[in-house]
Amino acid sequence: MTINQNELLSAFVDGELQGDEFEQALQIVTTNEQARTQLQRYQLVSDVLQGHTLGNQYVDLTSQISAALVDEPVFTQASTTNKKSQVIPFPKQFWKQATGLAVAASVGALAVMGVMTQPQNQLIPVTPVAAIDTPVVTVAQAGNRWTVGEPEVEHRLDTYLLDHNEYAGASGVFSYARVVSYDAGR
Amino acid sequence: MQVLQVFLSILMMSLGVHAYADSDAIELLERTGLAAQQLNYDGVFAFQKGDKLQSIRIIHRSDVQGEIERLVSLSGVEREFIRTNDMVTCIYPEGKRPQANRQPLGRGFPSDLLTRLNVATLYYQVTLGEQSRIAAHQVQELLITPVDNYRYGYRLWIAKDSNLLLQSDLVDDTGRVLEKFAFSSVEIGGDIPEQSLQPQMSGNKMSWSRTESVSPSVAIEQEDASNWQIVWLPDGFALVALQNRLKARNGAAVEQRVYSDGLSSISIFIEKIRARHSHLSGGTRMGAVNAFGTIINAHFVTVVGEVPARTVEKVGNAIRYLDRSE
Amino acid sequence: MSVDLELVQRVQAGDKKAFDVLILKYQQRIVHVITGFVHDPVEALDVAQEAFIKAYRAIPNFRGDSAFYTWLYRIAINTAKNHLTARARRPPAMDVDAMDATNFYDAPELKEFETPESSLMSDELEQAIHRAIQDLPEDTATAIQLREFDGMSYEEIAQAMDCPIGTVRSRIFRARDAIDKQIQEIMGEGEQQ
Repeated sequence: MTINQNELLSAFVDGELQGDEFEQALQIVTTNEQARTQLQRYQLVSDVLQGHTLGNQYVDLTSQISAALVDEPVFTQASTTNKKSQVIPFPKQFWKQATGLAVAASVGALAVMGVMTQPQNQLIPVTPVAAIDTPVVTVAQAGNRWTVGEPEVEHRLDTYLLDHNEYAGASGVFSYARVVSYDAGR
Repeated sequence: MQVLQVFLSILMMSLGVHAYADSDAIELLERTGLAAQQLNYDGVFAFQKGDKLQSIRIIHRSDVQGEIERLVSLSGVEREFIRTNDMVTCIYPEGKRPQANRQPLGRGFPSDLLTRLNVATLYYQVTLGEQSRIAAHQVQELLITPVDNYRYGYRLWIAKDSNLLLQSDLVDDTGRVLEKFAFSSVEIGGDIPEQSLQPQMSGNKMSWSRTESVSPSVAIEQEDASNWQIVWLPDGFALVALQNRLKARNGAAVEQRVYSDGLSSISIFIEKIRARHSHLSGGTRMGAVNAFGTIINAHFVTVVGEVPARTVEKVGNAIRYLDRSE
Repeated sequence: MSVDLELVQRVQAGDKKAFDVLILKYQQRIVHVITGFVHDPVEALDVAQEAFIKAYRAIPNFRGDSAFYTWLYRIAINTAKNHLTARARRPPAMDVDAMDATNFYDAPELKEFETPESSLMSDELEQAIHRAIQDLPEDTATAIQLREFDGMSYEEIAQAMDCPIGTVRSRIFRARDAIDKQIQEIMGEGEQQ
């Protein structure tokens, strides 16, 4: 196992591969057990750091699932292509169901569902209705960032602010605008 | 515009039996709530916070099918929101994840909460202010003034002909404007073609439905069962939500409690310390939002709210851990 | 094209091993998500396995309209929900918990992770990772933190740290390599299986 191979696996974990590196990485991972174990450790460390492990329990389901899949069909390009026209239905009630569950399970942060890629329409610029006048009244220079100066702490506060705004319904107008303008302040 | 509608309906609920309210002011507030819901309008509003100005175009249509509105950011980060009766979709450019990954505001509080707000009454004074002109409309000012210095007040400007809210300022006790929302131009009452409500941006799309939080009664039970006790809150603040979230970043469980007087709200976050991380100690602010952090019994405790610094600090110092095992 | 989508296309073209890589990549997250619904960790593993199998069966239909993880996540929560519904219908006489507990130590895939010893090991693991990061040179530590804590892409990190993307990649790799050396002792035999 060379250093370069491990660097490739590290980039693989991050999905940051260039050119034909995907081929190389997949080749290594599916044929070299040591490389596979290495990838698994890199992935586990990443999962631990990103908080994707729960209660410090790490699982390895790969072998048991692979075993369970032995009798499953191997797909062919043809079967895939044929079925491509078949859209997996997005149940209309899905949002509600899933959201209900998310709430029931108190996993609020996971209530976001469905990231779809839009057709690649050309971006049509939106014409402003009118030029915007700078408001006459000055708003207090309270800043757009937390006055902490420590990224880790600010990040946690950012997360809290979003969570707070979800409930700060009373001042709804403000909550909405705070979030819309959120990135702009960064 | 449901956001506005909720905002105003909550205002109305909370102020409905207000001792200081003058009846003209309350009546205007009610009309404003209906106007935001029932009118068609197409305009550009600015949201101002500190030296940052964000322009947002809003197109709102109301018909037999209900309300639909489209919001497009015109400055800063490209982004569109489409809101229909029960669904919010955010569209953002390819490859850029929005930081705001959730609905900033639901349809509002659960309906039973509105009832609860009837008891949260005597903490703001509602009066009519002066008449002036905003975005080519004659407006009537409405003043919402807190009775103590633990919360902020509002100044609202409402179009006299249509009753649409055209400007809203959040002000502190010295009259400083902390955040401002104002239409720079708006067309009220015209036809809104279907096309105007279609997203124009291509890119990724993220949808979510308006969710309701756990009902207050459930939240109160959870609060009773919790090891954490809040021994002081400003008058009128009551628990409106309590939930345990799993933080996506590190999987830590975070208890969030939201207390509100119907108009202002405070969240308290309690997060078990899982690793050696630094935490906010004392106060900080961003725009109108103040935060106060402390560490209690190996937990990061943070109070966040669109209330004055003194409020989050006092609440932060009033949090106690009860060891129930003893 | 994203790595996930390439892997999916491989599976669609008949490469089952590519699906193993997807499992490897997402198993912790999926188990984590499912545990939010199905609180029993043993059940959660079963549900996770079921979810992955369902995903495999459905993968010919995956068209890349959403991110793979989003799609998988949806399958996982639906599986979890169905599981909860099914469990609620079970006759109360059946002591499910006791049965699961009996099977608990017999299940080879669980033994390694669920025994008290392994739980201790896992705590050590997390601490070792954080220790290793603290010992890294500043540039390396910053790169891995921006990547893992802030979810930034290599390009974003390159901008933030004002260095070429290749440097970001090697810094992140060096960080992982250093962490890996620290944790190998702890992972020890458990990982060799």
